[in-house]
Amino acid sequence: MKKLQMFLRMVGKAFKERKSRVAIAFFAIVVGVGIIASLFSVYYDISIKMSEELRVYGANLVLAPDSQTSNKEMNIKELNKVVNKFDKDKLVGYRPNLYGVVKAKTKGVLDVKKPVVLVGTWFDQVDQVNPYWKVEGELLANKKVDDEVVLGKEAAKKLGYDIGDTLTILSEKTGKQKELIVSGIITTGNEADNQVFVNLTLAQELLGKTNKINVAYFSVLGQGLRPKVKQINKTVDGIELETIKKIASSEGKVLKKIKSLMYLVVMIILLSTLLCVSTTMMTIVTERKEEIGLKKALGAENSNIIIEFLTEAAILGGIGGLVGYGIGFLGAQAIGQSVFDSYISFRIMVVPASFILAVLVSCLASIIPVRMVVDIDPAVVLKGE
Amino acid sequence: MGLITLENVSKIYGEDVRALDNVSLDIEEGEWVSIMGPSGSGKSTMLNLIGCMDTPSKGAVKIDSIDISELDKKELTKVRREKIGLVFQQFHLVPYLTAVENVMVAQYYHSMAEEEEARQALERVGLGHRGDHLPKELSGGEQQRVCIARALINYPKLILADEPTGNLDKENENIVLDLFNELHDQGHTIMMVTHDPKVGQLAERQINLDHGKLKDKPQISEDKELVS
Repeated sequence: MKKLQMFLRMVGKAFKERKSRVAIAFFAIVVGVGIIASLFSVYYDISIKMSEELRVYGANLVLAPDSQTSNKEMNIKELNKVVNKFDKDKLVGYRPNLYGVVKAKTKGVLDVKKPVVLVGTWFDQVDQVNPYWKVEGELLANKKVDDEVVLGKEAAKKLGYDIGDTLTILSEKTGKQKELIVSGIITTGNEADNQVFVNLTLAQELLGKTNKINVAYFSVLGQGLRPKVKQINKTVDGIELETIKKIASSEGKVLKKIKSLMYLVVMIILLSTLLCVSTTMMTIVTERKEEIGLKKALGAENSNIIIEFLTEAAILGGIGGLVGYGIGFLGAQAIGQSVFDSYISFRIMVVPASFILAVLVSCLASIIPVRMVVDIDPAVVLKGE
Repeated sequence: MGLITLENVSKIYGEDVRALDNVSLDIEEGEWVSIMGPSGSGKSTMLNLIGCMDTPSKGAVKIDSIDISELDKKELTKVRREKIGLVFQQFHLVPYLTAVENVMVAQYYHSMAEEEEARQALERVGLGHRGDHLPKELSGGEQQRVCIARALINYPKLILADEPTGNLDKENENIVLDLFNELHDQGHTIMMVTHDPKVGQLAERQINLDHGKLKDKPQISEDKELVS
């Protein structure tokens, strides 16, 4: 115990003696670990934040009838089964579609009817599943509305209709005809621009497909959706749930690039911190050459002196690591606020990781200075050098 | 056999630079021996060998019957730690440790740091009241007395002093030499390197070195009381 007390007394006083040098090494560790902790904190959150951000670009899952069977339709009950498999807080929205070809009368005096794709859907889910749709006019917020229609931009152009006009559509299959008021025109940038949209129940009625749907689009939050999709496919019969590769792969690519960039930055920061601490420690060893020689002359073995230096380095690194983490966490909040407009979560694991990293860096940086310690000859003290 | 024995010891640097040339010497326990000679005569080399900081190129150096000639650095450190107390011309105190802590450093590397014992050692050299002062707050003579207290703390067989009064004024020189006299009277073995003939003559025996060789036969001092 007395030996330990003396050891700590020597280490503590050695720190005090070289405040400015110690401060330089400490500052280097704080800055280095601060940036790294900040990057890691952001990185842990980035996939969640990015997932949220990418939901703006639409659905990331699509549900269809099992491709192994000849069914091209499924019951809406299947959709509900799949919906129930997701956590409510992660399911942003889901929109079923029922497709069918109908004839639509073009605007004008002549009785010209053109085939168009009729899509029955839930308009109240468009904001969640297709937030990028540009809507002119209004979508049908009420699922029971059965006398209004929303036209894709190209379809409106081809048929010659505008908001407020009345459009007649005819299902040749069932012989049902319906007059519908155009309540909105949508621009989507995809095939939906050529389609005609009505409420799902109306489409089912016109097409004679009660409770049927062809596909459903899901917008779900969170990473690692694949295992979840796999599990749902196993447990719900007659369906095929798939990730929409375009979104999923761009999400993955962006994350991969960010990860590579982060590792590169971390390596550069670690290297510069290592160099700075190592140079400072070498200066400290040079300045303390006489003291080291004296201690050896008094009977200290190399291991005694090395342990003293490594302890100094470890204390410096440990405290620097914790302070660095604190600063890094604040930095992460600043990044979170400016980039994602939200706070970065506190992760307890980053604290010990920062501590261990800083201690390791400090000890690694002391390898060359420690080698210098070994080379110091106790005779330098007698020579009066 | 004496406490220190040098048998035909040579220390050769490079091809043929003989810092010590076939030196044989015997120092008995309780003896006070001074080593004298001009610069380059081999005093420091002899001190390094007896202080276990170097090994001879030829011959044998025995300290308390241990032949250090074949020892590695770790074993040399152990012998130095166990058997030798060092006193330096430039004091060499750790600047950021107090007087008592400087004494405790030697204890720490030897066995156990006992503050009470370290303070008693300072009392012994007349510095009981200065234990909590830093070296920069002490005079040269006081620093040298801390150095002596540090050399004594582990009860060494030999006190090896390198020009212990070289950096002191007359008053402090007398204080320190009186202290060495006391130590000698108490039975300590002292080996002291000095340029000063008056200081050298305080020893029972003077060894004169010249160009790495013993200049003449070791003599017993006849006027030991001259300075004290």
